[in-house]
Amino acid sequence: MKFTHTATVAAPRAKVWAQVMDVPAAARCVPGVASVRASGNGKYQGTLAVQVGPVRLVLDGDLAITARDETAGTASLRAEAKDSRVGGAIHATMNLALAEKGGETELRIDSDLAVMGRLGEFGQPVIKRKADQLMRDFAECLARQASAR
Amino acid sequence: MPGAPGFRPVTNVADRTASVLGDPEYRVEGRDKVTGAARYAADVAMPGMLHVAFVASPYAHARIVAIDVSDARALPGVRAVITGEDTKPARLGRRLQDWPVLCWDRVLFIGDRVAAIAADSAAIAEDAARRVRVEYEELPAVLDADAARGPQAPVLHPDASSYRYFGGDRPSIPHPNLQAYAVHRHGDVDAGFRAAHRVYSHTFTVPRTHQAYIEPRAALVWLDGEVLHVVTTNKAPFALRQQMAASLGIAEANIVVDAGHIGGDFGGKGLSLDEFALAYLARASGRPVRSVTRYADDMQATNTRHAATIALTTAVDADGRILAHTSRVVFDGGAYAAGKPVATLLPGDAMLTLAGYRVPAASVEAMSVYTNQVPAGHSRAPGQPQNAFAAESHIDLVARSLGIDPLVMRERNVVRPGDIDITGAPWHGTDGAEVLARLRTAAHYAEARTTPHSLGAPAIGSGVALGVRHVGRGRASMVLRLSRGRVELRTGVADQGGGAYTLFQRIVATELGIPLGRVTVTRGATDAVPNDPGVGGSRVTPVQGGAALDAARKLRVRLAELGRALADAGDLEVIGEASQETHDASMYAYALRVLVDVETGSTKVEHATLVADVGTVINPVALRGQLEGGFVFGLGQALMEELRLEDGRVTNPSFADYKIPTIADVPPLQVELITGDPGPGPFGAKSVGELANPAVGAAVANAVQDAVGVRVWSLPITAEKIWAELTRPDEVREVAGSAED
Repeated sequence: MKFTHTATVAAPRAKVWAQVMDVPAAARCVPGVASVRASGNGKYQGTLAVQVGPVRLVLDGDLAITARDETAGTASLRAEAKDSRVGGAIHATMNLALAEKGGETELRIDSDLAVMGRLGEFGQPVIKRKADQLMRDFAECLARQASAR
Repeated sequence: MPGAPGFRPVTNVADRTASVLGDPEYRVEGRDKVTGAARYAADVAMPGMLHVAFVASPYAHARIVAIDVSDARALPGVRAVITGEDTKPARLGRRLQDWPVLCWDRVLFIGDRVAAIAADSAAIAEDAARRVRVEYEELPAVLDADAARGPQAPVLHPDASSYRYFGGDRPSIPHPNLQAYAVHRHGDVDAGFRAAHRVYSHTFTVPRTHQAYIEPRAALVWLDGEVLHVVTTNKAPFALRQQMAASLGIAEANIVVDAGHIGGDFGGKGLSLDEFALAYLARASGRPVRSVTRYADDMQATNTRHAATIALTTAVDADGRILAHTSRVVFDGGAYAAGKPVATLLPGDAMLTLAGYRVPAASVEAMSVYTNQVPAGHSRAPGQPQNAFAAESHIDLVARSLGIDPLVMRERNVVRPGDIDITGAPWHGTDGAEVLARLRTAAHYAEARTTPHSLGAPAIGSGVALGVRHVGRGRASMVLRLSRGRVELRTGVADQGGGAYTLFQRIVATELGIPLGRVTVTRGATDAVPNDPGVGGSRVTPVQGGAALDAARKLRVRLAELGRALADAGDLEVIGEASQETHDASMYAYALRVLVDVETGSTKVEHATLVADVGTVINPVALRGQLEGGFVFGLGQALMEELRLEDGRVTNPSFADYKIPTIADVPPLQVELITGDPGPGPFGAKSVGELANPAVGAAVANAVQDAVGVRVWSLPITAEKIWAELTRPDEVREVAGSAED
């Protein structure tokens, strides 16, 4: 499934870039994320607990920054996570782009999400709703952090 | 409803044949169903029975590098774990056995199976399935039927020549990624095009749909000594026995297939998958094993209706008369052709791209293509909803372009007995002129066309479409026993809901002139009754019904020979047989009225009229049920049904997201029966099970164009598509619907 999310953060681009590239800190902005730690080589391990419809998922996995270009304000991330209770996995490629607009920063994330196994049975609308919500919360949290600093 | 044509009851046929046929019937199995006594495959349990789960591929195309089942095997309660290494080279399928029982080398679609587990409970089996570690090497996937035919496309079935094909030699194919390819030509096509006043070309697409039966597939398999017992949801038990015997290397005599009540089929339940792997698990565990497919898996990994792209070109004279026709139909067959039972390996009526019309010359090309998508198989009137949507949209577009009323266009071209139709053979069937004349009257066509449209109200449009369906063919036999004045008909026909047993009872009672209560119909497994071709292909009434009639006639002859009455003849047994090689076909036509909201494109079918040539009516209630059900089935495909796939994965694998019509979506349906033209079935009956669904999509599309002037080129006809056309700049819209001269 392909999604595009955009959000505006009231902070200059350089500041938002630094925030987003600090993966453990940025990850704390995603509700349900626990214990993100660097495993070296631009890779991170972590857990995301989310409620999708009536089902609670605990996704365990890795996140890697596969490309970054600070000048252009773009980065690519790859995430692979699985839930062993429900059965299924998520593979995601995310392309980040930051653009400064009059002192604010527009954050755009293009995600390509492959949902495998049982998790795929939720159906696209349900997963899309959940992704929208996570992304909204993520952007709001980034904005709060940016203005707090 | 204001302005709606008056409702008319089903035509009464009481005066045509003997007593019972005119009366509304009671279903012989109806009481069992409404009381819950009827047992379906998933209800059957055995002591010591194990439950089965499968491990399926998350990739559309991948090589299996390694499978580690040690964790699964170590789980308490797990009794057997098998992988493709245990089943290779076994493959399954109805005509072509190309689908591995379990994959051992490569997986070809998301949901392709690589391992199976039998355990004490379903939960343990599922838990064990999650512990199977499969290492895949992802391969480039071919997700598009055009890409699959390109020179660079990976060959999905390099060993195709070694696959088992039932019944002779497999038809040759011009590209390795084709499942099937066929061409048909008749008449002087070039001359037709040279003489043309205008030539029109249009291309249409139809998505994958699921049959949407209520009951998911289920199977119970056990070994009793050498004999393999199979309880199944398969509607063709004798065919499954043949497929399993060939695939598993077991003699047919050592396989007993038992198909009881089936909770809906709509064409999909002719293909069995689990039964094959279950045979291995039963042997490995020494226990009965049962699987019940989860519905999401049923939608992702069984056999759907083929998605198709249909390109039609037709030459017409100045009056709109068809001179010549060419067409090309590309079906996306998915990863396997196993679901298709016909010799061509195309969906049933793949070649009928302009059915129901006089076509003096035609060149038709149809193919089914291997892709890494969900496999496609048979679904109610296979191939026809695709072709009927295209053909009936095309005819309407031609009529509108020439300034001819769409119904008049059809009246000028509709096939009449003896005319050459799209098959190149003389038409044996309904007089199309009669069907359209009845439609014109019954639907109050002239009034409907001139209904004024009031400002601010939804736009009103009316659309017509016709369709044809052959009367079922094949051979069948059944046993009729007389004992103490009562007769018992023993048949191998599974009950998939069509009303077969009631039909047989009424045929036998009518022929013998006895009350219905003295005729019992019983169903037997494959070891208890003579060979039966199964339910499908519009076959039950003309073929199996024919065998029931033959049995009753033979019994009557025996009684006459003995000079005995039924009540005091003692015990007798006869075998009824029927062989139906008819070329008869029936025609039907719709007139629909739609309301379209011009702001949103939201469309509602407000009223429908169906005229259908059905021959003699045997089960009046079931016949009407089949026609109404066919209409609703077609309405779903017309307005909302689409199995959406993204990178080979179904993104709407539940009825929360995959919409089918509910009663709120169904408009009043006026049914007009033509019964005066006897068919080849018992007492002049024809087939109706697949008669009414294919033409609905085009009737809706035509009505939408009539209402708001835009054409929808693909099914389903959603508000979004209509809105997109309504808001598209005029010049772009005209290009999309342009004719070429």
